[in-house]
Amino acid sequence: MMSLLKMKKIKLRCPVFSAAPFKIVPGATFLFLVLFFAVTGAQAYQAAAIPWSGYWWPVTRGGLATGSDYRGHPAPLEKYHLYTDGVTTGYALTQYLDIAYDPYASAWYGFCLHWARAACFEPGDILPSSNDNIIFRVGDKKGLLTLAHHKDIVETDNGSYPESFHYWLLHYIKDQKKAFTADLFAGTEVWSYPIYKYEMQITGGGATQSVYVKIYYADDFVFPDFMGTQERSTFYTYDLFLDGSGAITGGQWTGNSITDHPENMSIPLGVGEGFPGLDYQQVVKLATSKDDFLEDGSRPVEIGPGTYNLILLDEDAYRFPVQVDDVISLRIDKQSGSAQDISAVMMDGNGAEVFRNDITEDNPVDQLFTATTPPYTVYLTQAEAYTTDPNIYTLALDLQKPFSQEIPYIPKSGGWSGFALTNPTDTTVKNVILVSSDADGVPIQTLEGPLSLAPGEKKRFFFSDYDVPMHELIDTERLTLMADGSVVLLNLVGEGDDFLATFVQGKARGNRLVLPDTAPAMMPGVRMFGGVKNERFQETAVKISLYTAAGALADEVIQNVAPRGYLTIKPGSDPFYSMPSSGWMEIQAGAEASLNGFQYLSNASGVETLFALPVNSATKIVPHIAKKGYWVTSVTLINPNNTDNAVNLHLALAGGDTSGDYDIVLAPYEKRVLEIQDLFGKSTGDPLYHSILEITGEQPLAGYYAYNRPDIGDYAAFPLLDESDFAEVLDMPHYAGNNGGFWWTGVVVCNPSTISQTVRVEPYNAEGELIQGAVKTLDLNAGAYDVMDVQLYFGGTAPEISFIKLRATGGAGSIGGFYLYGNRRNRNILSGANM
Amino acid sequence: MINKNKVFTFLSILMAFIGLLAGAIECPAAFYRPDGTIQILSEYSGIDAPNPSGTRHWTVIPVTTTDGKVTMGFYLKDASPQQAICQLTFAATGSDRIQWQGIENISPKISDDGFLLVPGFPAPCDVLPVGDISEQGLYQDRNEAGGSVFVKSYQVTTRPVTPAEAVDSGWINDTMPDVGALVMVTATDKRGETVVRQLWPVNGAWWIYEETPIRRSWRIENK
Repeated sequence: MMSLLKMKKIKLRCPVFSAAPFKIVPGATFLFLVLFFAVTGAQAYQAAAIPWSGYWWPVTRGGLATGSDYRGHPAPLEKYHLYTDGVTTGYALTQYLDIAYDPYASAWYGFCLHWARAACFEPGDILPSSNDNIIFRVGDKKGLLTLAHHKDIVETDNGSYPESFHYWLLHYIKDQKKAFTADLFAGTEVWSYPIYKYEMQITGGGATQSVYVKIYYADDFVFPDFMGTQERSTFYTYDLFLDGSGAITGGQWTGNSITDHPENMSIPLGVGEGFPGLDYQQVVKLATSKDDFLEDGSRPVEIGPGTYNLILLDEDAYRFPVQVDDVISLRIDKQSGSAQDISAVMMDGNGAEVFRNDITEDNPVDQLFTATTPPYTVYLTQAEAYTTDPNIYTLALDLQKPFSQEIPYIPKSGGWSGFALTNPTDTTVKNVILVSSDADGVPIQTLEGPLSLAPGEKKRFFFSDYDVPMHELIDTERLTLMADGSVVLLNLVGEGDDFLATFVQGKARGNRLVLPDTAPAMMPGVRMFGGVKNERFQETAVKISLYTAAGALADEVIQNVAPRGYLTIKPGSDPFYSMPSSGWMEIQAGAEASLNGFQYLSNASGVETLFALPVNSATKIVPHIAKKGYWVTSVTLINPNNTDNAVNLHLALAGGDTSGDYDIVLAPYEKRVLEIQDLFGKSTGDPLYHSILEITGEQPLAGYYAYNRPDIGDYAAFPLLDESDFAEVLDMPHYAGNNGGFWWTGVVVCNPSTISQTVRVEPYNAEGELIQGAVKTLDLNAGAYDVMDVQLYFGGTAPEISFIKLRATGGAGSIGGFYLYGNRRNRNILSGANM
Repeated sequence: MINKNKVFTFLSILMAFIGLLAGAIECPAAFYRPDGTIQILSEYSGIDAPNPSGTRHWTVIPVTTTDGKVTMGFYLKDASPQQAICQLTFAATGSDRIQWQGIENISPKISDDGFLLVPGFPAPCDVLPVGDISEQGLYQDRNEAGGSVFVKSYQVTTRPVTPAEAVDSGWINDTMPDVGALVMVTATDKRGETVVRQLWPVNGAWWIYEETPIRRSWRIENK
């Protein structure tokens, strides 16, 4: 009987490869037996299901956790934890390392018995699969099944008694059609295999019968990914003793079998306790799955941008949601394993072949092209052996569409991220796609779409609505919305009543940007981070200059940002380990570059986010200055020039009267923050009440304006408006409603033109229909603005409102403005965006 | 020198055992038919030890049917779902018929002589003819497989055991309440190897210790 070596670790004994129990049979004897067998005819029986061959996972290697003897990391248990917990470690892995990994163990200690039991108990084809985009190879699955059968409930018997071995062959294989395991080595080592078939010849009669039996069993001398059953066989001879009634009462081995015969036999009855931390049902679910999640019969599957880990168990075909002039980046990498090449053919919308590749591990598909004749469909096949040698591959797709918006930050530890996606146009916008990406900007998966948004259609959702696999959730850092046409995407980020922040990229992109705030690392109560995205498919050199508020250059780096890649900026990390307090950064790239960036700043004033500010104008607008005494209105001005920049602040309604102006000179690269409510905030009745503030520099400027109240712990910041922000029609994409007196939604609309304008305020309901009776108009003199609390402004109609359009009538000019969300109970919630 | 106390103790146990046998003859249905649930802790040896501690906790639940049969279901404690690993069904009083049924469609076994062994099965469900051992103590286990009949012969013997020996041997705990006289009932195969032995209190309805080549089991307190 086997004994358990109970030292620190459980010793599980198995053969080394070199000690496989092949029987050396003298040729003449073997020939005799073959002829004998052929002439006399034998009983031959086989289990209903043939056990599969699998690896025996030696204890010295610990391959199920280390990947040794297999494919390295992630090892099977790491993949299991990645699938179930989102990370590559967990209780099962640590338990395995503790009790079943010992580099100093005897070389033949391993999991052959548990493999053999798993192979008996879990028959059937085991094929590779992609589960939650994690590839589980055959070796991963067989390894996990092996471990899951670590503590089976088993029936055992002593196979060194030939009558017992004979009984098990007849009882289990012949009668019950079940395979069973046996230690097929007569020495001290244990070599267990699943026996599933036998051929038996019985001769003699009376009190003794002679038995020759050839057994067939599955081998474990295979690579873990081996598919099917590598059959081995051996034979035994023995005599059986019968009583007067013909009943078998005993037996004895004969010939070579006297010293070389089976020992312990077992058959699993159930999985028992299994392995600590390993969920048997989950393992079975993984093991019995096959292929991948992008299968739709023989029809091509439309996929959006993402990185897909896939299995080629039959022809795979994918179609991409593109229109003319979209840029398509497609890469298909063949993973190691299959001896078959992958044949890739892409056809365009006219049925013409775009490319044809035979993909090998060294020769991936790597295509970057502009769509001319969509739709495009790529077909992947292999010449043969789909089910016996299927390919595993990774397909990475990225698209560049005429409209895209970044959501550069996703809170994942306690915060929420909500979205309002609106099509404010009069036409349907197609191929609206929301894609997640990792810290480097690599697309992970398409979360939403491709879908079409009808005119006026609006969707509201939270990031948490998406069933993102845990391991991808950990990697997900940002989102990109892309579409064939313009839509409005509002992203609100918050955490309970602690803060509210907004991401609306709008037109914030270019080759010269300003990140207007910095903060030192490890500063108590202050957290700052940001990033820069290269929007193009070409690698781009980006120069980032870090300045103090006074304009001193603190640091400067040039970094190559990968195609569509992201450069993370975080104090204390490369490339800026040290950052000044209240400094700023200039980001520059070549003329052909298209960048966007963002900052997230949390400090005593609250939490706010801003997209990096394009440097494109010397004239800026603050559309609203709160009156003195209650709100604080501040302006942050940055001079991104190497010369002094004289800046004039002037209320537009003052016209030619400059007596109330405020003039400053910004030194080269200086950043200055001004509180302007005392200078420019006016009360009702004042001729300059509700006048926009014009900020005019001699050189281009960048900056933002912000509002806060001393009694709440949050603030709202908006890029200074300039001509590029003004339009005939503005969209306020989301009315937050009242929610029991929780929210208020404010809207400011201004007239930056030189003539008076009438603005039509059009509320729309959730169906995208104009609420006809509630349309209002307001007149704005040149340089004036107006403020509305949506609930108060529309009264009883407000609850029906989903979004609002502000339309400058008469076609004589354009308008600008912003919207702002706050809390009626003075919670720390304040944020908004320019329209 | 002969220890009189030991002789006295031995004789006392022997007398008690004779009484047990006599009682058993009068009331043969008492063994293996406890009134309530039995808790058993089994310690397994070898590679099939179920966990680092090598133990499994069994709950044996008796159910009496309207026709007087008693079914003893063997459950793994804390297993989910709760499924009997095997069941022993004892006929109504007056018959020695025992039926055994295991999971996974294992062929049932039937005995008419109060002797039913399932060697190699993980649950401690072997039944010995306690209190009703035949004159020679010889029993056979007949099984059919593949058209052949297999017969295994066993010898069942008993011997009294002192509580001190039981404690020294690790069969019972010295903190156990007075269990009274004890008897070890042993079944050996034709090679003389022990297949199962069970330590019984003379007035017990269930053994307090059991041992096979693959496990040792103790009846433990119900909790």
